[in-house]
Amino acid sequence: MSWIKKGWSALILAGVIAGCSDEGSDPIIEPPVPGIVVISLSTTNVDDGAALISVTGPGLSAVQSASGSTEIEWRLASPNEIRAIVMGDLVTGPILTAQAADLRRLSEYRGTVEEVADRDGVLRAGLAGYAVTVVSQSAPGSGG
Amino acid sequence: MSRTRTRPLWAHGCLCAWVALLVTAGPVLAQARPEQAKAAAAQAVYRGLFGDPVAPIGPARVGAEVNESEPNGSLSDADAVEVEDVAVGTIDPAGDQDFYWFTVGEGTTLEIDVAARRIGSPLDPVLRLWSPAGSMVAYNDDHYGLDSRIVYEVPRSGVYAVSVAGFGGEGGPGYHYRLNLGVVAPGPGDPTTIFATGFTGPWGLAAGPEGRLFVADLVRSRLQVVGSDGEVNTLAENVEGLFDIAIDGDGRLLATLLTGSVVEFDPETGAMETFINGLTRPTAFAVGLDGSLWVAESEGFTSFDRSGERIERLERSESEGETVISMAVSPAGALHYTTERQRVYRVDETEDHTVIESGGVLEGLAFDQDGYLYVADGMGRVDLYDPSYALAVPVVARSNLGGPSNLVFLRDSEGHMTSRLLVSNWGRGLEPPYRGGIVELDLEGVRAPGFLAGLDYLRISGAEAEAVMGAPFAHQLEAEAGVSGVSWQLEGGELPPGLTLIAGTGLVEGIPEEAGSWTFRIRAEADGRVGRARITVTVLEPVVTVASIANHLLGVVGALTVDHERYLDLRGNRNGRLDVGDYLLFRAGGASTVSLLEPIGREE
Repeated sequence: MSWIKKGWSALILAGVIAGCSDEGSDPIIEPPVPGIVVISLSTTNVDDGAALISVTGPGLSAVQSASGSTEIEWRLASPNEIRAIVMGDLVTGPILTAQAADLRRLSEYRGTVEEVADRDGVLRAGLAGYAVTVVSQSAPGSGG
Repeated sequence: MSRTRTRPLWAHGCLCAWVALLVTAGPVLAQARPEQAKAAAAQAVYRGLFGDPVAPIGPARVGAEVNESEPNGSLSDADAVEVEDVAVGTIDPAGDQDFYWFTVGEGTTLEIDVAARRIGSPLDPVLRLWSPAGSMVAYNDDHYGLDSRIVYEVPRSGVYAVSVAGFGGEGGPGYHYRLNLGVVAPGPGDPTTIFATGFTGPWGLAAGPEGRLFVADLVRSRLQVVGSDGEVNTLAENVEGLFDIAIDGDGRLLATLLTGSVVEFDPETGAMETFINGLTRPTAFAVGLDGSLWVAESEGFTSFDRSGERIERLERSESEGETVISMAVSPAGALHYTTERQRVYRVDETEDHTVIESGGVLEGLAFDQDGYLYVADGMGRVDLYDPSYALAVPVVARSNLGGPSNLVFLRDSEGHMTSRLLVSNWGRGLEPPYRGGIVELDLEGVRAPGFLAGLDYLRISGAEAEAVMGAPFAHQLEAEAGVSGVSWQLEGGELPPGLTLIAGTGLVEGIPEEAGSWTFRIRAEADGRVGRARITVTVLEPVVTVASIANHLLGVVGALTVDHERYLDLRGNRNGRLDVGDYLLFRAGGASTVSLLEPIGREE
């Protein structure tokens, strides 16, 4: 072994020892922070009548309509995915609320618009301009 | 005191008069005052068409001939007679009445007939029937022309009386009469029963496939159809000059119009097309053994091939000047016909001959498969003649019958001829439902199935089918056994959207795209034979729940079948797949919320 290799090995070993000896206590596990998320629809159209959306994220459940003027059907496709049909005169804004397992991981919650039909039942050919966002109900502008 | 009755022109049976009446006055009369006009128009058209009926002078007599013995002008001094006697007397002087008493048992049907004008007497006789209590129970004036007739079923045994008087009290030397106290004996085809009613002047009859009966109502100028369930529907109205109808060897529903043509009707829609034109007042027609069509015109017969091309012409000699009202072709191929007279004529090669002569007006004709000929007379009777024209059964049926009467054998649901023999009743002496009705003879009185003249059309089965919207469908139409190489085509109507007919196989297939019921006409042809059939396909909607649709859209595998997905898209936005737009439309269509297949959350 050359002296250069020996020098690198010493440095690495010193680093490992230093890292493991952090005052000698157990690692701290933060508990999840459950809460309500608000799921909102963005649309550029004014005559949407129904939408099929999906939302993924840790521990979603207890979906409710965020608006008295819409009707929803929803289902847990998996512990981390809900799918919902929302019907009514849809406009940009909150459409659903859901119980989320951990608001600390809010960035992991994502929504997708899968289908949209207008109020005559005609399916939108493209979904450009549509988006679903998920925010904490306590967040400013969540509407919750 | 005498009275002169002025008979209208049409009452003379003049051809030009009744044709004019049928073409113009009949429908107008019928429309003016519906119910009253119906009866009046029927009578007017009847007389215009057939003239005043001429009857035999009473039924066949088996009793004694009794001369009146004056005084017999009241119930208390009536002459004694017995049923089936004939009383001979004179209404003299004016105001005279002659009474006769007789004993008769309960349930007996009396047929009391007084002949005066028919024996050359100037008397216009009026008949009255009196009960044992001395009250009048039946009355008639003018049945056979001015002669009168009463048919009465005796409700209880006892001594009854009948009286003869002159209309308005007329009488005098030479006002003779013959009073026949007949008893109506039921024939083997009695009692007849109602097959359909509600017509006004039913004349032309044609037995269609699927057991249906087509009826030409001359008074109302309309074509009607009676379903196998007895329901009557109108196919076409205001058919000017409608007279006779027939179904030819190619299964076409044809009709003669007095205005000069033979037309074809769509048996489903009533749409009319000209088949033959340029005729001179065509009345009756019949299909020949080779499928040709024989049409009676004013002076003769003209035959046409199956495409409507003229073949030959025969002038009538024996019945010159008479109007042909009914025609039938025998199993031997001979054309037979009746006019408004008391004869049946047969056409041999180029001449016509009288083969049956009777006392009554002979009207409808129908051969059975053995060549026996049923003849309806205008007086409410059906007789049967054997192939040599000897009277085989003098009265096959006489109940609930009143002329003019036509005859037809029904086909069954598969198009085969049956022994079900129907008689149309214009309704002389009858009340509804028999007046304007069509009655069926008791099967016991009908010796064999009817003869089907002409080429028998190709019979087709598979008249009804059910399909489910969105689900693949295949329905095989079948020609009768033993026939191959059939070509099929849609002739009328529309198939349910999404279905097609395969011309080479007779398969109706595809995926129905709409719910509902579609009736269309199919034409099949093989070896020169043609068949037509009415096919009904009923497309049902499948049972699909809101929950199953929602579950499908939410990702539940197996919530819907492929057929259901297709159905929902077809009743939705029809973009080729099931989507949230279809769901929205399904809900908007009134679909109710039901329990869900999968446990899902739901909030309204």
